[in-house]
Order: sequence, then structure tokens, then C-alpha cells
Amino acid sequence: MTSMEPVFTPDPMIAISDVSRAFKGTTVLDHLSLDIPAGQKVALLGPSGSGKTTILRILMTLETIDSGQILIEGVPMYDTASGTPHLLPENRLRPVRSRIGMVFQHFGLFPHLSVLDNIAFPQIFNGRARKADAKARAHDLLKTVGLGDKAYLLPDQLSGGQKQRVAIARALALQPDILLFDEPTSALDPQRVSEVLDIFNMIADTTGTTMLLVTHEMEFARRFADRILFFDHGQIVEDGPPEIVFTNPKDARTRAFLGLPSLNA
Amino acid sequence: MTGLVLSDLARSILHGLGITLLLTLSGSALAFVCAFVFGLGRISRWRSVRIFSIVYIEIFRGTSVFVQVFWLYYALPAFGLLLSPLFAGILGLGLNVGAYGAEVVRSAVQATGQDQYEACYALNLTRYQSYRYIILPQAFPRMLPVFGNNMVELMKASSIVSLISLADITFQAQQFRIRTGETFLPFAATLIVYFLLYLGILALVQAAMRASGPKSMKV
Repeated sequence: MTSMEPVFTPDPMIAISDVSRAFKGTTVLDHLSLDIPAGQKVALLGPSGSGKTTILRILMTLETIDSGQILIEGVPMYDTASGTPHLLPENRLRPVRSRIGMVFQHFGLFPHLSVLDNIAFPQIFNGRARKADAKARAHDLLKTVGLGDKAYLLPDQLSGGQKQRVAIARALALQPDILLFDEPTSALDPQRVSEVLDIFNMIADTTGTTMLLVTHEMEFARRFADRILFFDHGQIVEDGPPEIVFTNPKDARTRAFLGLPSLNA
Repeated sequence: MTGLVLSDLARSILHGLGITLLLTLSGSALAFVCAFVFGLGRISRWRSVRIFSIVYIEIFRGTSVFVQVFWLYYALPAFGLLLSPLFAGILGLGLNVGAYGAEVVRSAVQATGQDQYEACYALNLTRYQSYRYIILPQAFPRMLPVFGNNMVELMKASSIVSLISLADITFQAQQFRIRTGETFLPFAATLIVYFLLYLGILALVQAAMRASGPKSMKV
């Protein structure tokens, strides 16, 4: 307090600043602001249509924003000089986007390529590795996710849970700083869910990747996340560590969603 | 007498077969190129490319191949462009069938799931990489059966070049009929030869389908 030395505050890994987005007149995100520090494990919860998947798609630049700005470690994704945000041109956006990976709800594996090539191919075409190195790395990642013996199968020969692990390995192969997971447990048998959790924790522990996941499963969110964001109508109505959000949320909508009694009852 | 007639017929049909094969193969090659250029042009990011592609596709699908070949051979000289019959024939057939092929390419590419495009984008592939290695390899097997049908149509339509004095099978059969007065033999032979060509194209398409099935990629 007495010191006059400047305090070094690193830019958050993700800074979402006053972002709004509407689809055909329906507001999906309503002046949303959110900072996520590097290495945080964040679970996005909330009813369907509350905007949580849209957040992931916007971070991946699969969707754009109507107003606001998004910064990845201080680097903007949008040109806001004209007042309305325009996504940066591809040559400037690429370096930012390449720091982000996404595992889709339905995985988006390439059905005509072997499991190994699904993982090796993006590395080669991003100039991350030569063919032999990319394949070696793909083999390593497959072993890590417990699919070392499936390298030469086609994706359609795998179960849903196995496909998901291939999709995770494929995203990890590009060594993203941020990993986005859209409904990672929706395609899994309940007994497989803890396997996925183990993989997520392994990723967090070994790479320090910032992870955001959208889910409907409270228990999964509670065990995975250091931070829970509860969405409703395009706004964050609850933000805190799982032990607080799940046991004593402030917001009435969160309480209702979690089946807790109303505070002023 | 009959032996002489038969060997004369065989010689004529074989001569014609060369021209028909040349037209079918060259026309199909041109159609194949046009199909991809204008099929992808139709869904280009650039409006001018889209419009140019649509104009080409609709003009060539909307008028008969007959009229198109006549235009190339008889009308273009009026504008100072003189094409040989063979070149006019290949060009007319190729451009016509290419317009149909372009729609096949477009619909096969658009039938590829949105998830594939989004995965390409999320994995930071360039547009070229996405189409060349992910989208088109999945779409191509869907195009092949229709390409096969188009090639058969092209082969059958090639008989119209007899009207711009190209000596294809149909032309040779007509000549033979005029020369000998025989009607049944030349047209029976024509029928059989066209049908054999059809079987050949079928075999070609099936071989291509086998070769384009899912397999590990070679980068």
C-alpha cells in the first residue's frame, strides 16, 4: 500500500468485454463481461438457450458479436474502430484463433481419415510438425487418452466415448492455450463420465490449459471446475467456486435451477 | 457377298468408334474440369465468380446440346471464330455436360455436414486445405455415380456430331446404309457398340468408386 512500484497485472487469458449478440431479434448474450485468468477451469451452466454454447462458439470465432470486444491475453479479436465490431481479417485473426481449440458436442471427426490421421493432419497443415513427428505425436496422444490400439481405425468404428477422446487428442495436438468443450458428457454412458474427468484433470495438470466447458451435468461441473458460471437470458447470474454456487447461490434463478428453496421464502 | 458386306461394316463402325471414343473421353475430361471449376465457383466467396458460374450453368443447362454444338460450329464463324468439327464437338459436349456436373459438385459439397466445416475452421485449416483434404474427399464419392450417368449421356449425345460432318459411329452407319441399302445391319451394330461403350463407362465408374473409398490419407 505504501509502495509506489507499479503492480504487474497480467492480461487475463480471456477478456469478454460488454458483448451482446442477438439471433433474429432474440437476445442471446446481453452486455456480457467476463475475465478468465490463465489456467482456470470454468464450467458454464444454465438452461438451454441461455447463451452458454454461444459463448464458446464466439470464442472459436464460429459466431461473431454485435457489440463489445474479446481479447485473448490482451490481443483483440475485433476491429472496433468503426463503432461496430468487425472480426479481424483472417491473416491477423489466425494467430489468435490458433491459441484456441474446441471439442464439439458431436466431435466433428473426419470420417474419411484414420484416427491417427485425424490427429496428425491438423498439425501438419498448421505447420506445427513434419509428417513423421506429427504421427509420432498422434500415437503418443492416443496412448495418453487410452486409445493406443485404435490408431488405424476409422472414426465410425469407434464408440461415442472413444470418438470424444480422439477429438480431445486432436485438439490437444495443436497445443492450444484455451480449450473449449461443448457438452462433453452428453454422448457418454454415465460410467464413462469419470474417465473423461480424469482426462480433463490430466490436461489441466500437465499443460495448464485454460478450459471452458458447457454442460448440463451439475455433478460433472462440480468435480471439474474451479469456477462455475451460471447463465440465464444471456447474462451471468452466478459466478463463483463450485462449493459456493452449488450450496448457497444468491440468484433466485440459480436456486430454482438447482432445486434449492427461495431465499426470501 | 455377305462376308464382304460384314467386313465393310466392321471397318466403318471401327473408324466411327475412334471418333466417338475421342469425343466421349475428351468431352468428359472437359466436363469434369468445368464441373469442378463452376461447381465450386457457384459457392465462391466472390459474388462476381458466383454470378459468372450461375450464368454458365443456366445457359448450358437451359438450351439443347444440339443447338449449342450448332452454334459453336455454324454460328461462331460469323463472329470470326472458326472451329474444326472435332473441336466444336468436344467443346459443345464438354461445356453442356460440365454445366450439369457443376450442379452435382455443388450439391455434393453442400451435402457435407456443417460440423466438418466447423471442425476445419476450429483446427485452423485454410480454406484451400479444408476443401482439398477434408470436404472434397468426402464429397467426391457422392459425385461419382452421377458423373457416370452424365458421361453416359455425353457418349449418347455425341451422335449429334454426325450433323456437323464428323464421322462418328452414327455417321458411319448412315453412310453404310446409303452405300449398301442395308438398314438392319448398320443400326443393329450401332446399337450394340453404344451399349458396349455404356458397359465400359459403368466399369470405369465402379473402379473409380472402389479407388475413392475411405482409406488412410497420404499427405
